[in-house]
Amino acid sequence: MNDAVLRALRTFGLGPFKARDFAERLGYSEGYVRNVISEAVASGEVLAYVSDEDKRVKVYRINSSVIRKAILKGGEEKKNIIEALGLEGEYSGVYVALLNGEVVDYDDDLYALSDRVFANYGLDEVVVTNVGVPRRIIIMEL
Amino acid sequence: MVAINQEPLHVQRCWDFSQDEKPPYPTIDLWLARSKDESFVKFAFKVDTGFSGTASLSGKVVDELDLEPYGNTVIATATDIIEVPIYRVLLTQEELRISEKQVVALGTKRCLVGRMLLTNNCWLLNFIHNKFCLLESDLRKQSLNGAGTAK
Repeated sequence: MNDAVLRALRTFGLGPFKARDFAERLGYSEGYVRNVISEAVASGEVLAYVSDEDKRVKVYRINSSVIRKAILKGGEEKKNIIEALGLEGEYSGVYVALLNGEVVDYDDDLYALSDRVFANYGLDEVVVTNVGVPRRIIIMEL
Repeated sequence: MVAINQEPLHVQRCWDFSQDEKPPYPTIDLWLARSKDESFVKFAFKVDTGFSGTASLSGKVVDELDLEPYGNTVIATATDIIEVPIYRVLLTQEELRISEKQVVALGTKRCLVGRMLLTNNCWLLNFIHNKFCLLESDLRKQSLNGAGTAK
């Protein structure tokens, strides 16, 4: 995920934002923001809508499905998303289940969490992952 | 026959050690499927008594069952902390009386079975004949089969 889009995720979460807010809050030029948003919309990372208040203004939102994809990729991409979603404080050391970018369940125990996820959610929508090093990390010898 | 805590135990089932690695590892067979609509396929799993989870699957098994990860996690191995995908898979193991149970399986280099599947059973590691065996007492067999409740 593009750095500027990650910054937008940190700042606006999954809520709506306008190009002007993006530029002002993050200190970018409007021209740069228009380019970044245009690329992010083309790649599907950002969704564009027409503002309810003013039909001439476009409103943007981070596409929550890219969060699942980025987490499934693992590594730095996952680390960046978890940091951008602000999960490190509250959920550090546990496993979380995310649906549309929101934590819907969490547990110290991956197996207990997964059993609930299997019962309550579609596995093509939800994503389960660790935040930081799990307190009950799974150990393997071979 | 062997006895532990004066309870006689019978060999219920034995599996040969795997010969694809040196030294050979004890193994057990597990039957896996992606969903109830699909047929179960038998795979040999190496026994890792230092694995705190249920099972882990090699890339070959993941491909054969066409599994998609629903997440990932870091795990601690003997040498490092690594990130692995996690899968949901249906598991059947008749001797352990597990039938079409959905379990969490990690994606790793080898197929491994861990303590969560081995626990609550008595096992025999036979290095003379290179066999790994499930032991069972008559009492436990009766209780698991529901004997004594239907008279």
